Amino acid sequence: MKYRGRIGLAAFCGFFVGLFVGFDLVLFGAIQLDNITVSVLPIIGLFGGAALAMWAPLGRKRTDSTTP
Amino acid sequence: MGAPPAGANVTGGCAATGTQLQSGKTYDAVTTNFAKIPRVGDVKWAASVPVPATKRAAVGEVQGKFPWPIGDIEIGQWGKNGKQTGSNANKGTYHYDFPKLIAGIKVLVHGRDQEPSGVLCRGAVVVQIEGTSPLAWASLALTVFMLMNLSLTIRARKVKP
Repeated sequence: MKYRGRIGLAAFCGFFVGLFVGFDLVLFGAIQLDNITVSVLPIIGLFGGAALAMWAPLGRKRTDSTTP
Repeated sequence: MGAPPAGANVTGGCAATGTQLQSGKTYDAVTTNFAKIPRVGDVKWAASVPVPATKRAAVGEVQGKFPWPIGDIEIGQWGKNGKQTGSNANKGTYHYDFPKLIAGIKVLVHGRDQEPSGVLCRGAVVVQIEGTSPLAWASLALTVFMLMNLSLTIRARKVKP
């Protein structure tokens, strides 16, 4: 049996994680409103989420991953 | 990265000062680069441009800087409708009442005044309203919720060969 992460869903969630982390930084006054980080974080989250799902799916059984 | 711009903030010979009446703090536009102000209050202000007080078509605006791709958003402007001015200085007391939702956010506010004689004044200041927006707590809750979702979605699922 093969295991795979949910790449599309993880990218979707990663995007919103990045978006809301950016909002947090702005709303708590850690960075200025015009800081480029606010725009970049959702994009990092999008690709970061997809990468996490592709390369590090949690809960994968190691014995199954080597099954031919 | 989030630090206010350093150094003097008004160029071109213009002058502006404002006293926040509730806190008693006075801000000089030439030397101030960061102002933390109460959400509701009054400011006694005065401003001048280094030109004679003759009838002329001076043009200018004040803008707030938002993140890319939004960019600058105009807060106020003068002279763009062709209306002429005859003064080179002005003063007054302005009452303001900002919504609680924008409390705590650091916004870069910048402006310029272009005189027909060639004098161009520019200025910028980072403004932060005291307090914390209720949106900040909602955003923090949504961040935690989306992190939990992300941790669930990156879990492996079985795929039939």
